[in-house]
Amino acid sequence: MILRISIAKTRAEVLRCQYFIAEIYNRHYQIMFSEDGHDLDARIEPYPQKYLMGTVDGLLVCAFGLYTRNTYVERYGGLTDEEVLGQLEEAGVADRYVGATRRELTKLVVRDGWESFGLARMILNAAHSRMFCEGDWDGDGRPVLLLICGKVSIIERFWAPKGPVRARYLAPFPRYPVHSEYRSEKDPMQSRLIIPDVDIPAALRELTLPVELEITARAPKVGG
Amino acid sequence: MDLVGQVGDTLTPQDPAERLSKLRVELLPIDLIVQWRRCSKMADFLAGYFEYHFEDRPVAAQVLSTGLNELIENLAKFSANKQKPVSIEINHYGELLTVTTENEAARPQTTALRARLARMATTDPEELFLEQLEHTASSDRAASGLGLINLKKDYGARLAAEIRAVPDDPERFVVSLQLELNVDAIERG
Ligand SMILES: Nc1ncnc2c1ncn2[C@@H]1O[C@H](COP(=O)(O)OP(=O)(O)OP(=O)(O)O)[C@@H](O)[C@H]1O
Ligand SMILES: [Mg+2]
Repeated sequence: MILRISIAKTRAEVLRCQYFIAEIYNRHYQIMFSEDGHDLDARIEPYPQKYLMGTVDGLLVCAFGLYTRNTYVERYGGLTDEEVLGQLEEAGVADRYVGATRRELTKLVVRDGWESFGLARMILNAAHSRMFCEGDWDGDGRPVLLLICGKVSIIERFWAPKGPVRARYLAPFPRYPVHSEYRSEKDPMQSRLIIPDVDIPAALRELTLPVELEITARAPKVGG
Repeated sequence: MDLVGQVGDTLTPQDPAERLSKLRVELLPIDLIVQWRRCSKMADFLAGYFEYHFEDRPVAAQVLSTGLNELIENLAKFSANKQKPVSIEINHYGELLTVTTENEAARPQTTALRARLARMATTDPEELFLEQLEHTASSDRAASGLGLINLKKDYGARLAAEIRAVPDDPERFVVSLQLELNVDAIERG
């Protein structure tokens, strides 16, 4: 089978991604979405502005979003400029990212019944392509820094050490009641920073989209 | 406990011949999840459609919209299958206005609704309101659980549900929830 990963371009493609993400997020986390205002306590979240979609024979099987502005991490994570600057200085690239715009990879979903193909990892890796996450979507030509936020267990599974992209620790994510059933003491939520120049391997960063990948179902793990 | 059957307040029997107006809307819950503001837009639209029956139109529209919004949000949140159509029906009988919603719900939500309506039918709404406030404060939950209680406390609404079995699925139920309001309570705000 062939998985085709492409950037959602038409209004119909964007709507398909929104319905797909909303259905799954609502079922798992009781989240609602709105384009006219958000409210974390009421579980109402804004949509990403850009989507990467994975299709098999035209069926949408996975999707991933990008906040090109007003990131979750900045709105709710209490992220400070100093925390970001500190990481940039440590990486020795602060001069290259002056006035950088911050974007956030978010809302990774896989269709029910398609969990055994490793789709999440494939679309997540492809999202680090310059064409998607660093596209000049807002037309201001500024350099791009990437943010992510999530449980440490998830971050460390998809990004380094198990994944190919490094995600630098920024700060603990504040506690909100909506996350209380999701996070735990043992598995807290964090905000992380990805510096594209340094943290994304060239092969991923220069990946051309759309891309087609052969997929096969993994054998189920012994004992689960 | 068997969930199926009638629960809640005793509603006033209505003579269909006395009905002045009727409006029925069918929609997919997923559309509300995808754009949550559609709940309040639909509530405002329906309230605006019925406000002509009242002398104080702004107050009536406000009260109707509040009540409808609560029921519509519940349809979105508690429908078991978000792709299955749900309905909202409003009838105006001159002295009374009724709103009936119908959706399918899973067992836990249906059980909670049944317990809530049974309790509301026998307990003073002010007392339930305070009790629920305390419960929410101590439970770290996002939903306040006050939606239906408020309709009763603020507008003297009567609330009842008819719960039916879904053939071939013992974990799903059809919930037909009915809200009854006196027209003078709607206008008083
Ligand atoms: N249409 C419905 N179908 C199935 N269950 C429902 C429906 N409406 C309400 N319920 C059940 O009744 C409970 C009480 O509803 P209510 O609207 O008072 O509170 P809530 O929606 O949980 O919180 P809030 O309205 O304050 O956001 C709900 O938690 C849910 O379990
Ligand atoms: Mg409610």
